[in-house]
Amino acid sequence: MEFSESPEVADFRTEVRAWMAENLPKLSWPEPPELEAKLPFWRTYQRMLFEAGYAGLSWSPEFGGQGIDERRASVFTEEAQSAGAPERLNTIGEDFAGPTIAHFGTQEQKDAHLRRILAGEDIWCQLFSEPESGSDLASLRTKAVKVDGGYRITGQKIWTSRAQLASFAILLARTGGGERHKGITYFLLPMDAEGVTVRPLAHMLGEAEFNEVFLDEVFLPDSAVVGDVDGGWKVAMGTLGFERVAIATGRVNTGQEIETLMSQIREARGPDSAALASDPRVRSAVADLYGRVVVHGAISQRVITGAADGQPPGEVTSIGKLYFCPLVDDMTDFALSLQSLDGQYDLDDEFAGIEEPDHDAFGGDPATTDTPSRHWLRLANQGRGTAIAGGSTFIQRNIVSERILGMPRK
Amino acid sequence: MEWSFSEDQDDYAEALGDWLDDKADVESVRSWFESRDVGGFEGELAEAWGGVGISETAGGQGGGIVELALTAEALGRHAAPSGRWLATALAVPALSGNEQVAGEFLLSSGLALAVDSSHRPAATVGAPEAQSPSVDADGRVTGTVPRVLAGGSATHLVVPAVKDGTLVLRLVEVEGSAVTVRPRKLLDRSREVADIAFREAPSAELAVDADAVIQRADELAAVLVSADALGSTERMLEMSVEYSLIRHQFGVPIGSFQAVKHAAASMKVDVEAARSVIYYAAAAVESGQSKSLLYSATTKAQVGAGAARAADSALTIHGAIGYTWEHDLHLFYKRARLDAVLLGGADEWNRTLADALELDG
Ligand SMILES: Cc1cc2nc3c(=O)[nH]c(=O)nc-3n(C[C@H](O)[C@H](O)[C@H](O)COP(=O)(O)OP(=O)(O)OC[C@H]3O[C@@H](n4cnc5c(N)ncnc54)[C@H](O)[C@@H]3O)c2cc1C
Repeated sequence: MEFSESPEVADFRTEVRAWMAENLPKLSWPEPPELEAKLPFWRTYQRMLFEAGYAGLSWSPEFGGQGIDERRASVFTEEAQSAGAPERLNTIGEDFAGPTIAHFGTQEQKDAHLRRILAGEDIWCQLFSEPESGSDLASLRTKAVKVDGGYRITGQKIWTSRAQLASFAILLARTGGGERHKGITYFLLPMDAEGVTVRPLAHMLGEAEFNEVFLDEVFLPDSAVVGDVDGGWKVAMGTLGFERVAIATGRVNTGQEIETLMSQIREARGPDSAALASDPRVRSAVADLYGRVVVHGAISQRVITGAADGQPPGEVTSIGKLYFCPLVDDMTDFALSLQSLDGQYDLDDEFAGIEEPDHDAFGGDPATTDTPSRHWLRLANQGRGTAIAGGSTFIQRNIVSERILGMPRK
Repeated sequence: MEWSFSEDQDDYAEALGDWLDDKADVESVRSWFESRDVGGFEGELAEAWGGVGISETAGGQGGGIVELALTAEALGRHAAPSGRWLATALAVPALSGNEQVAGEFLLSSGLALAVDSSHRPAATVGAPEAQSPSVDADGRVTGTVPRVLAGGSATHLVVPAVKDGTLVLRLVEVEGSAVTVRPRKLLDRSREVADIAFREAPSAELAVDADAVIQRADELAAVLVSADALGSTERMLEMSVEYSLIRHQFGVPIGSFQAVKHAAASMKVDVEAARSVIYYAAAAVESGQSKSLLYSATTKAQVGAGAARAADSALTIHGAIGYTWEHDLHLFYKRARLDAVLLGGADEWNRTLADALELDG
């Protein structure tokens, strides 16, 4: 157990902090809140990272990465988040499609895709789930029929995050060599291929975050297969493993969020005009949330230390998500509960979250960026989605009990 | 940070675990509890391992709070008596610089810190309204301290007392008519507490920074009691999983029911979360982090609550057998529940944390 950072890591932190301070102001702030408007903003940022040598930190230099250890990569993430860097739009490309291609792909696939992911040229999406195949992914029905030189793919995918922005997808389809997981093949699909239709689906707050994707006799050449034909399940499990590490160490920087919450509470007053921070129930709730954030941070450090020492993602990774999701729910709900109607304004309410109306004039400009309450509302919603995506909470508990504790499957 | 144990620490945990498997098997533990006589084991424990995790200047063999936490975890796992061990670990920093005396106390585990063990140490010491014992001009201590951990077996007490308006630490020998000890019986028999009254008890000065020793006791208490809870919770999880594989209902092992699996998985989350934060806090305390009180307070608040939750899940999974005196579960169940409140419960530690977070600016 060594609490303090090694000098190399500390130096790297200083370097990244300086880079962020110098370069983030060059972006054309504010960052737009809607997904599509965010794309050019993010792309400029990703390009800057790539040119400065900060893209693909833990990827091999062979693919345009920096080949540094997971610990420094995680320091970079921390510093980027605390400097307020733009949202990472290509998590699927960088965190799991890319590593999957690097691990299981052919040389040709690596050459074609990896560098472009890091340079911010291609956003990726994940075409796994189907209307009838969610938790039970191995039951998927999308068919890949062998034709001359490749496959014709037909079926429907659903809940595909960011398909409306993506130029490539990782895709699972049934090649039929066996039942269930024995007959599935893993493909790389250009989203502009003929026969691909993307239809946005709005999430609970009304924003199009994910999509339905229809595949109608889409042709893919043999060279689009990753791993073996009918051997796609193994590759898919690799992808889900990379996804779990990313989720366990936290998509949401809970440390940053609790600091934001505390600074809001320090300023806030209750309906009786008394400082909120002197209310014992508020104090106790904040202390409890802060404590859980510290625990989450400790779990992440354990995952990162393990990864940096080259251990496979083990027990702590699986439990990370189970610890993290309810924490985000509870933190955001508590933040919203401090002004109980704040969590109830629709996203298109122009005045939501601005300070109390000025009684003389009801003046003030409509909000153009996310106000504090909108920030918590989005995060509250996102937390709920994360708990379902990538294996629901119940499925995670199945995994922990069966694979870690050795309890029976049936 | 580097969240991993050194090879020495792994070796130590293994050696101690083996020693405890041998000396503190569950039959022996039960027999000590039945007769309410845990002194023999505590004596052997102190002789064999008392110096581990205590600095050389305090008479120990070196190592630090990570080693102490490993010890607490292993003791909790075995439901082994450990009140004297813990009391000595909390009190011995008061003898720092006095290696020889401190070293003897480590080998006998006869030392205890005279603070009320239903609160965190700093809560009752030195606060203006606290009824701390006082010291007169001749160095005699007068006052009472309720619920002193291992107070019924200690030969010497480190007493936080007020002298001329300032907090000092005094060493008092228990033997003699000036000190009255009233032992209290706890549900968890692995530890005991006693109410102690001092009536003009002769005492020796301890020339240390009293505030620093009490702050250290706070951090040690939080981390070590949490590590103890981790050990007993993990053991309850293992017992629950084992039982769920052998107990059949509706023609199948109860461990195949998803309600049971999910309860076990949630216990596992509590166990690994606890392990993560306990050693994180231990490392923070060891490295003298300015925020270490935040981390240790967090640990006690979070781990204690999780342990109490997990204890109830373990009981549910066992059904009626787990509710009996005959089954071993209650040894660990009671231990975890005492750990949740010993030296301060979640509410108290969260209040400490809220103060430290400076919410009111
Ligand atoms: C925000 C968001 C983004 C997503 N992005 C993508 C994406 O980019 N690409 C993609 O392919 N998919 C994506 N998904 C889909 C996601 O992977 C699935 O939603 C998830 O696997 C669950 O499937 P389902 O929604 O069909 O629920 P179901 O599988 O129908 O589950 C419904 C309920 O039944 C429970 N249940 C099912 N089976 C079991 C079982 N064996 N034991 C106990 N309980 C069970 C579940 O826990 C859940 O509570 C996304 C989902 C969300 C919410």
